[in-house]
Amino acid sequence: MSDRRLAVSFLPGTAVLEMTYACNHKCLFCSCPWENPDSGFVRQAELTTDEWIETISTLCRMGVTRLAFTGGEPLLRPDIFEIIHHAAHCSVEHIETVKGRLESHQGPPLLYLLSNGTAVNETILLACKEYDVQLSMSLPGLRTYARHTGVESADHILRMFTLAKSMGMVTVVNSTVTRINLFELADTLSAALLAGAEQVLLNRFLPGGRGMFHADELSLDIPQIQQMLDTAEATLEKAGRFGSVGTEIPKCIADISRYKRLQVGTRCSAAIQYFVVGPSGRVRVCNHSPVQLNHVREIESLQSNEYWNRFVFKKYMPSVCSDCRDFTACDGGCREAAHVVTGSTCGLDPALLQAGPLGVLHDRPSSTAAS
Amino acid sequence: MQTVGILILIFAACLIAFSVQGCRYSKPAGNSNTDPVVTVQQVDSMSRAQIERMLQTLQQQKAPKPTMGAMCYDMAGPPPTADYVCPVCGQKTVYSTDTSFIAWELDGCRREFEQMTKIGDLKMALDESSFCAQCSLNATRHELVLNITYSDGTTHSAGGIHRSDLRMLTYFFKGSLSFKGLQDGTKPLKDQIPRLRELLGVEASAAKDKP
Repeated sequence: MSDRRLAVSFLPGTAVLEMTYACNHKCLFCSCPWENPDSGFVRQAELTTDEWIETISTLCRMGVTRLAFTGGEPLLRPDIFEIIHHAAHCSVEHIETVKGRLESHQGPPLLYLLSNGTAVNETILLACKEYDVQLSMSLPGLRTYARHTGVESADHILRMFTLAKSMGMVTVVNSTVTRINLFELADTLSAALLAGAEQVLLNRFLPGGRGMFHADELSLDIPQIQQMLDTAEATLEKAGRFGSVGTEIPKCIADISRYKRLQVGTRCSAAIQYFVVGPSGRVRVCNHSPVQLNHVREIESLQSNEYWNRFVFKKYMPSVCSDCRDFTACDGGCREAAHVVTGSTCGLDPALLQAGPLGVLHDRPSSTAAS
Repeated sequence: MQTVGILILIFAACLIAFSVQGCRYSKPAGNSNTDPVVTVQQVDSMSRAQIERMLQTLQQQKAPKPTMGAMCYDMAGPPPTADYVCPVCGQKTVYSTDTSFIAWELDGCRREFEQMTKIGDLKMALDESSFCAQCSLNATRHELVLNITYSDGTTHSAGGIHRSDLRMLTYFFKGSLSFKGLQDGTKPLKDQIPRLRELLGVEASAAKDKP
């Protein structure tokens, strides 16, 4: 093997599989596009068991090496572990760099399950362990958990983190941060880590789906986003753990070099590192996107799809960012959140809509970390 | 009767012995698989100092290596492999070298180039073909090439293009005397004349370059 090779297909390496529209929570911040009747998103019949199995086989043949099962709530599908069983027995070519050269080995795809945790129990955990599925459970607050989710208490989620840890599993706490739960973010992450979660996935609230109707009460302004990052970093530092922010942040909002424990990205990877297969099999560039593209049966046609290529080749920057010094190193925040709120993928990230891009209009936040 | 009483005592003693044995091997209260170690109520009643102490205890335990999950953004550091999708044929090539250029700088070059073409009057094209294993099967070197076609029909190609080159050209075409570097600060374009000549294919005139 040399230092380069033609890939099996053009597809990104990670496929996020939205197993169902159904959910047993009613989260205020939910960005699933089908939860907003004004989004233009049309629900269609969900894929059957066999269709999901065929889809997974196709994706694995086309070079996808990571599969993330989500929804809605994936555990509401009674066949979820039948499908995961199939995925766990697929064989994919994992390519990695060893001493500067590409090497490959066959193996099952890496599997992830993103759940709100309510339906998780010991049986589910055992199944995740059996199939080597990394489990992520949602914890959007402690005292504000009920207000955010419509479910009374977060104790069950904490209990499942503890049980998972006792079974030798590494779990991820997925916390969506809103203006309502920001005050208790340190406690939320601490509780999850102390209960047994080993990693943190932080998501700043972005309007979309049901969240569009609660945007005013949930949206974080720029200082609050900075507070979110600083709080998470401090908590991770104390706990000796690592985490990441699940959506890209405009570079003018945060000095990402100051975060050693928390990985903060500034570039969109929709249609590049990952893509989404929705509950009915329609492909989207990311979970936040309301734009349904080809059906997964016709996935090859995506190569010539203009909307798909807009993300592959990053043709989506706000024009007002063009004078920014980081114009070529930043994607101006979440493009699909911008799309949902402004109507254009070239719109401003929701956090910048009022303030404007800081690189152009304001002084940058001061950096206290060594570069 | 006495015998029955003794038997009862022995039976009771056995019961006590077994329960003591059971206690020795049972899990401490509050540590069963179904009893949460942490509850919302507990966290609510703890002081900051208590939580801090607990986190410091946790810190002593080995943390698992961070794994890449399904995230919306590109990883912050240079990846071990990088994927290049060709804008011409749509095929993907996987790289183990130059991964930060392919993953990060190439997009930046495309954007800089797009900005540059809005200003300059020259007919220019950015040639990425050497990056594609389909379009350039036998390419031994992968680099960005800037192709210029002048009004007289002559052409010039400059290889090894980086973002800084395209930025310099943008400011040059604007008529600026300096350009903003990739980091903070501006630099005089005058110091970049040799590179500008390479990029534009304009030879130095012997008379002009005489000291």
